[in-house]
Amino acid sequence: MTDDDARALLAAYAIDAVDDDERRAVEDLVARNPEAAAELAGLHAVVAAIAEADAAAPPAALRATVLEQVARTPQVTPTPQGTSTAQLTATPPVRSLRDAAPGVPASGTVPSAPTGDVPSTPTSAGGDVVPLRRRPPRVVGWGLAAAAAAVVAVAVPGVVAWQQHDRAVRAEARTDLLTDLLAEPGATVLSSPVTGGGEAVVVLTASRGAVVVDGLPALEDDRVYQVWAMRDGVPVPAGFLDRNDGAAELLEDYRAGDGVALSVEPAGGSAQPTTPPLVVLVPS
Amino acid sequence: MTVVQTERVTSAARDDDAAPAPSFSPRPRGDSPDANALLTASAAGDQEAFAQLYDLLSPAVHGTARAVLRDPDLAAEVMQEVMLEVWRTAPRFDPERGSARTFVLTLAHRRAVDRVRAVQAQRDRDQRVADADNHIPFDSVAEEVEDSMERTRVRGCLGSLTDTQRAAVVLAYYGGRTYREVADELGAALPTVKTRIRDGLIRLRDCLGVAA
Repeated sequence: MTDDDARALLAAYAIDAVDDDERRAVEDLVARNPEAAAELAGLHAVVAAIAEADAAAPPAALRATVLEQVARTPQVTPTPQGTSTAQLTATPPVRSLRDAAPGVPASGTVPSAPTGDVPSTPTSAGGDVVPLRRRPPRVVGWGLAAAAAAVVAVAVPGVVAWQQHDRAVRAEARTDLLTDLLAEPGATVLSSPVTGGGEAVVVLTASRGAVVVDGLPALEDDRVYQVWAMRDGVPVPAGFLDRNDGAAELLEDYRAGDGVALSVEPAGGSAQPTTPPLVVLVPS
Repeated sequence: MTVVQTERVTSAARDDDAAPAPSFSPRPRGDSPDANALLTASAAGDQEAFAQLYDLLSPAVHGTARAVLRDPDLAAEVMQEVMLEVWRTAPRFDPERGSARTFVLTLAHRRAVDRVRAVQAQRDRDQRVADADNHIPFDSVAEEVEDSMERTRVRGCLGSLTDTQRAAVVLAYYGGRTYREVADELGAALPTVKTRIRDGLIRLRDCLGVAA
């Protein structure tokens, strides 16, 4: 479909009179073409005006029903797939762990930060980086050089996955996010295999937490990986994984001391886990 | 000392008059809550703000669903689904890409159309089993829609459209038909129908007094 074709469909699109292919074509055009976007905004305003002219109060009893459902319904993460990564990149990207963390010894044990051109294997003077998959869950203190090597060993599979699967800009945003978190004093890294396959790594600081997964099985369309903040042993909804491979997600509603857990939940998420946790990572 | 104290009291009183005490609540004061502010607060998990947003927009959401679905139970269901979706997806709302009111009300129409198509598809399946040749003509849909309209304001404005514009807009907006289905039923060419829908919406805009 040409841009002119899509442009001619704007009004039909605005009142939902198009099929799925045509909808995608119009949305693609609108994303690229400010003029088309402005025209659509005007048409959407007409739809809103028709809706208001048709207003009819719903049955009063539904208000309490909806608000009760709202109280049990977790909200989505603010940076879904395909939308802006501005929030992830809002903090100035930290290009080098060494530059960003004065406490880290400037020796060969601290490889360069995992940016887009990171080598596929970590180069570490420590040498003995145990493959992640065979390492039991543990807490890794940031201050130790060995830990710094382990951190990068943890990050690299994710970077590779991002390079394979993500647009470069998203990968960079995620890498920057992790680099940023790792540079915070007292950053803690925990990792563990995930029940059913794959790997989960969390980075926890005093103010933020992020979870990275790699190699998790794909889910049915009506299921999602939900992230939980483990607070005093109680799971609190903390967002969703965009995808099952190489995703890095900031935890919503994170507080210092929280751990992280994952479970499979029905699409839209649950207020409390409805399945056993696939992995639980709690700082000691 | 006395003078200084008096001045301080006066100054404090003036400050109270000039500006209310700072509040942690992001909700606006006054009688006209702003949908953008309410949705933004909802995005931060503020259920009180969402309750106000519900009060503000649920009548238009419900009215739209009822106008499209013409079934009170289905309309109530769709209204609840839409408001819950608004709550769930509030963190992704970006005020720079459009107003909260437009976001919610266009979503309401979209979900109402989704539902009417799902219902129609089910009816079609049932119908095929019962009687392969018995189709409800679109004409009767259009008449039913117009006859059932209590929405006098929209009805009045639909009168400002040409007959062909009105048929296309009513079938698509209230009947949940795609423009291709509208073209089939009206025996009109596809580009003609696209143009009728567009021109019809523009006339509605002028009649309903939509700000440019």
